[in-house]
Amino acid sequence: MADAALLSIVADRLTAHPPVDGSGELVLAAFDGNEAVRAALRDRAALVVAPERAPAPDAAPPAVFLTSIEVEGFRGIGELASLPIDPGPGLTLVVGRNGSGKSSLSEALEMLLTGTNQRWQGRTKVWQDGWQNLHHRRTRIAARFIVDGRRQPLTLAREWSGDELTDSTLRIDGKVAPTLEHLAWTQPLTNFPPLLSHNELEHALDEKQTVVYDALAGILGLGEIAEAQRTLRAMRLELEGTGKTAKNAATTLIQQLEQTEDERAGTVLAALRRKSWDLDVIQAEVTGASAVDEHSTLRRLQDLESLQVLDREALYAAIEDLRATAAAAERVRGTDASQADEIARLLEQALSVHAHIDDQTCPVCGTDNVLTYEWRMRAGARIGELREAATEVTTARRRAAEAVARARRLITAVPMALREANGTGVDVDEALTLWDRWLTAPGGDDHVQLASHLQTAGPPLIAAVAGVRAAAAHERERRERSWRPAAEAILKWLPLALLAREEDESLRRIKAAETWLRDAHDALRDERFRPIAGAVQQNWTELRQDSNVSLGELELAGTGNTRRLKLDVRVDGEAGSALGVMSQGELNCLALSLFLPRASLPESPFHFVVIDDPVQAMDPAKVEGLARVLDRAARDRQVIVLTHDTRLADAVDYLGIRAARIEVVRREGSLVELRRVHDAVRRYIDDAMAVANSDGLPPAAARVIPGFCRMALEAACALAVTRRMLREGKRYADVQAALAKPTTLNMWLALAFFADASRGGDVNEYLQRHHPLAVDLVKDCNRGAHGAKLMREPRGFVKGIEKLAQAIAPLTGDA
Amino acid sequence: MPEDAHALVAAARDVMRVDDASTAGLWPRAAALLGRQALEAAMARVWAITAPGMELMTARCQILCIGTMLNDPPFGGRVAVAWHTLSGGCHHGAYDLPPAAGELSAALATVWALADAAERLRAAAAR
Repeated sequence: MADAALLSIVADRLTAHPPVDGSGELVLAAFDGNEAVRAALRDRAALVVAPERAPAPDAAPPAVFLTSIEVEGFRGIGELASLPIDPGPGLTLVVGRNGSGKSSLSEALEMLLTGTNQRWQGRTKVWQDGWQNLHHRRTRIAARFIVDGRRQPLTLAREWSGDELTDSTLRIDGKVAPTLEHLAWTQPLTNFPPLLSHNELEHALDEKQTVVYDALAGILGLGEIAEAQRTLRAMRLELEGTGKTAKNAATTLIQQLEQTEDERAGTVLAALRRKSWDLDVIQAEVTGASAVDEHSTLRRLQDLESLQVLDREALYAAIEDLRATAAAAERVRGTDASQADEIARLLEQALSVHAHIDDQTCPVCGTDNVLTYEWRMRAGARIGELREAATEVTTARRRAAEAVARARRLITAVPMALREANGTGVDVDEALTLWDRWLTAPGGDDHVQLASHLQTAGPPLIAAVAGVRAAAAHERERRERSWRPAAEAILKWLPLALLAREEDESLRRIKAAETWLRDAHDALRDERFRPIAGAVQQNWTELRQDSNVSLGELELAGTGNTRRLKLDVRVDGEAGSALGVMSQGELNCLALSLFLPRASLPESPFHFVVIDDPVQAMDPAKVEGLARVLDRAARDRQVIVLTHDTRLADAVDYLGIRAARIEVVRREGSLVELRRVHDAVRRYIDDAMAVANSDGLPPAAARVIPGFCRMALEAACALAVTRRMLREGKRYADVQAALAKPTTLNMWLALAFFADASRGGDVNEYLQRHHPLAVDLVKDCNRGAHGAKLMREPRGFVKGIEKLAQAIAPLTGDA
Repeated sequence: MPEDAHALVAAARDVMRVDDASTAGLWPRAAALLGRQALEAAMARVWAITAPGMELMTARCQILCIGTMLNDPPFGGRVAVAWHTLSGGCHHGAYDLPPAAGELSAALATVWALADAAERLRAAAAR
């Protein structure tokens, strides 16, 4: 589920600066993961639902303050040790010697919140096995928190049932819970870690650049964009994989085709060598669906193969026919068919005339008595004979003519295929010669000559053409044999290439989406990191004191494997090789400079930070700077610092920084005692008492005492008001607003007594009723603040103020 | 007449600056000692004008009061830190390391400022 606020920012950018056509929906799909991207690629029209316009995220989630940590049977802590802390902003120093068990407290809190521990991560089992306390086998860690807007404190507890570190049960307000997700703390714990262990402090900057980058980038809340970028990248690599495989296969294919004689190989090669493969041509070529060029060798070979020539049977039949009809015609050669026909017609006419005229005298020669019955009978028979003779001649002649025509029809022109057989690798010369000879058939009616031409020229031609056909078939077969493996290879490659071509468009869109998202990410990153970088620089300036290392611009730069935190580190004004020039103490300062702004971001619900021993490797000059930095952080955060020596506590004291101090002492048997020895109220009282106790104090200097006492009372009021308001479930912002109001001691007291700073006028009456002895003391404080001399015995005055402060805010606090 | 605080600070800075084989390893403590004397001298000047007798009080008492008496409590905090640094450097504890150069310079700068403040106070009182 994508972060709606981030998505709506991305959607806005998409509208304002749309990416190259068609990749916008990919950008959005990338936020929904792999499958969504696939769907968007598959179906361009796939409707990617524009994200709902999310309401602006609540800039400040409910503030969480720590009120106590309870640890039992964990690491150096045996019996239950409880660390009470005042809720609300402020600095608390937990001071204890090394080995006193104070680090166990911070580690316990880390275990409670994260279920693991920086110190043990990646360590061997021997390290991890030391988690349980030897003196106390029951392990329980609990912490109480005050959460803005909640009346009851929130209790988190983790208990261990077995010996394994992982065998723990987490309870939220007594109810078993698998994770802290219920509180929506999981992501903030990663993005705004409130705990800085000494280990992390030492090694935060030793990590690989990418790790440092990721740790900081997490706070910018751009993780989902980075995730979407990874999704697109994975998809691009996948698509590029197909293309690469197809390309490599094409190279192999080209080599194979270069060895292939067939001209289809040439066509395919040409198609493959184009800037983008002409897959349609290749496909047509290999499936035989190509419109074969009439002049292609293949086509000409096919034509030669199916060359038509006269049929041997038909040839011999024609020759036989010629000869037979010629013989038949020879037989009737003497016969004059037309004469016989004429005589037959004459006789028929004579018979016809004689039939009308009954006269036996010949009308032609005048001879009498010749046209008799016998004559008639003879003439009739003769007509039959004459007619028959005439028919026989006609038929023979007609048949002979027909035979010639038939024979001539056999003599066809030289086929085109034969004439255009050049370069096909088939020898057609003989066939051509023979065919030309075949065409030179004698004209006229000489059947014998024609038959003999057919006889001599026909059979060799038939044989030669058959030869050509066989040769053509052979040649084609030879080429086919060479082509077939190539064709098979092409067929195998083609689907891959088609897929790659299909994905090429997808790839183009993915790349456009990637570029767009990278630009968007970098722009948002820079925008969001700027204020943090500013705070880091400010911290560094404070911490470095007079270190000769200065810190310029901070930048999160690069993407992918080159992502890094760019630090402009200068040594004596010279650009240095970044972190290499810094001492461990300086590195710690830098790590702390980075940690605090991050933990103090308004987006973080955690208003507490726990820092374990930041002083350890720090040179003393920086301790003062550290105290100031912590003081500034403590203005709106609950800053808890565990420290093994008194340098920090001393610096805090000297600088007049308000802080509570808790001492950790470890007795035998891992009994860890926590004693609240100091807080801001205590400190002012102590200071006042130290001055008051000085025998022979010049009266002029006594005016210092009311000043300290007034500050003690104001600190007590602030403490009381914060405790009360947070416990009542007020929002921390309200507490801040309330604490910002008082400008005089009376207003502070009114805020503490009546929860209303404007009722300063009622303070005197209240004091008279509840703290009658303090009435005059408070007046003296007010006067002293304006430079008036203290008119009473200083020690008694301070003691009285101490009592009042105790009444307002008991030192033992929440414990 | 107390010693001149400015001169003492200058001397302390010289010790830090001079590359002298004879003071090798000793200079941090020497500078700290001179610095502390300068601080005491400067405070004494302030007391002479504002609250005679204060110079007899404990160092802690004086340090606690100096900010208020100069009407600049934050500056009092800085003087306290300088005092702590310089006196830490004067005691030769077996395990305490002498203050580092940077730390010393910062403390000396504070003492210098205190000496300036004392001078201003004296000039104002003389008028």
